[in-house]
Amino acid sequence: MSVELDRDLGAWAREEVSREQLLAVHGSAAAALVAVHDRLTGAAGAVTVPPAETSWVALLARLDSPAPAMPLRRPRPRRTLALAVAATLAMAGIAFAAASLGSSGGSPVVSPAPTAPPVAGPSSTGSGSNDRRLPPSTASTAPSSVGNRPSTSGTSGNGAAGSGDGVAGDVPGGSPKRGDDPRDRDQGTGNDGSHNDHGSGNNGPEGSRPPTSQGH
Amino acid sequence: MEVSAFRGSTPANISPPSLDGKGGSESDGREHERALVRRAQDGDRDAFGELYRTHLPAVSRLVRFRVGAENEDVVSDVFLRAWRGLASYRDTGVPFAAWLYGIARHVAIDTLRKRGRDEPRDQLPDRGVEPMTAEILTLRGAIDHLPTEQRQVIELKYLVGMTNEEVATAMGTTPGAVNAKQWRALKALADVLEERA
Repeated sequence: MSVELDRDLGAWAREEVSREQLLAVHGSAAAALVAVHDRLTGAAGAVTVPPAETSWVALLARLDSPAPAMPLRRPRPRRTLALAVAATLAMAGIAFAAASLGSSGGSPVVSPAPTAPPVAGPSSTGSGSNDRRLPPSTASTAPSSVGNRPSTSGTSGNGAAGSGDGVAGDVPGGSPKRGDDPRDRDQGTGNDGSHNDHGSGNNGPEGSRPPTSQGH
Repeated sequence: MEVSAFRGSTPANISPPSLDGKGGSESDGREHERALVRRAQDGDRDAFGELYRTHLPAVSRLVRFRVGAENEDVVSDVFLRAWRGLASYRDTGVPFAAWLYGIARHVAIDTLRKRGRDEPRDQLPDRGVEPMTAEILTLRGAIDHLPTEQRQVIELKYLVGMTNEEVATAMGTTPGAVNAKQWRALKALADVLEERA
């Protein structure tokens, strides 16, 4: 749309120019707009307005009625189901943690595990170094191992990311170790291998699963 | 009370020349309306009744275009919701009609949802709804293709009957910008209508 047409349409709207003048200057370009304007005006004018007095009396009666109570939230079955599953997993995690504590006789090596997340958590999710060493088969079996058996050695990942895994020292094809290696230098991250990973969390045999990567 | 008089008067007044006409009584009309709103907020039903009579034609047109039928219940719902929400209304200079416009849009959307559809379409004559004229259906469909701001300008000007200045206040822009949007919207509508024809 040209600046002139825009200006003259405004002038027409302000009754500064007549419709004939507008059409004479701008021709079909203005005619199309004026035609739409006329159609809108006509259609709006065709709307029947309810009789004000009678409709007001009807509305007046409704003003006295209290507002209907509207539920803030509709019940959502999927949300309920998800909450139930999450609660079940959390309970299972707690149960495994309790069982693992009981079976290890309250070993001081295990007990720091719940406090390990600040150390072990980021190592499995932040740098990604552990993931590079994660065998595909381990990754595929990770979900099935979640919450299936207690761990006494690699519990550092237990709840590290709030996932409620309950098993952090899961080694593919192997059994959980009972107690840390005496040479363990992982500073309580829960790995028992003899090598020192400087606290990055993967201290088991080469190719073993890092303690905190379960469920991720 | 030029603005209010227009809104309650015959639709023939809906044209840019009469809408944009400015007069000394307009500010008086606004002040009168503000006083009515304040009284209504205090629970004065007579004041709200005057507001009702003033804005009934505009709300009826909005409902007609939005819902697709002349539905007095929906119109009544708009004012009922306005009455219940008056306490939350704050006079920030935006015309009361613009506030009603927002309520009317929400009520219309809720009504359409209840009917199981999101937009008024050609199937409206079903289910006992009063048939829309073909013209309103056509225009409604074209308006729905407009960008939001252009659609608002068209609805506020042609259906609510606000002036460029009022629309500008409601949209936080200038009357000149509203004017430009209006003509661009009309141009876009003309293109859409031509394609469909």
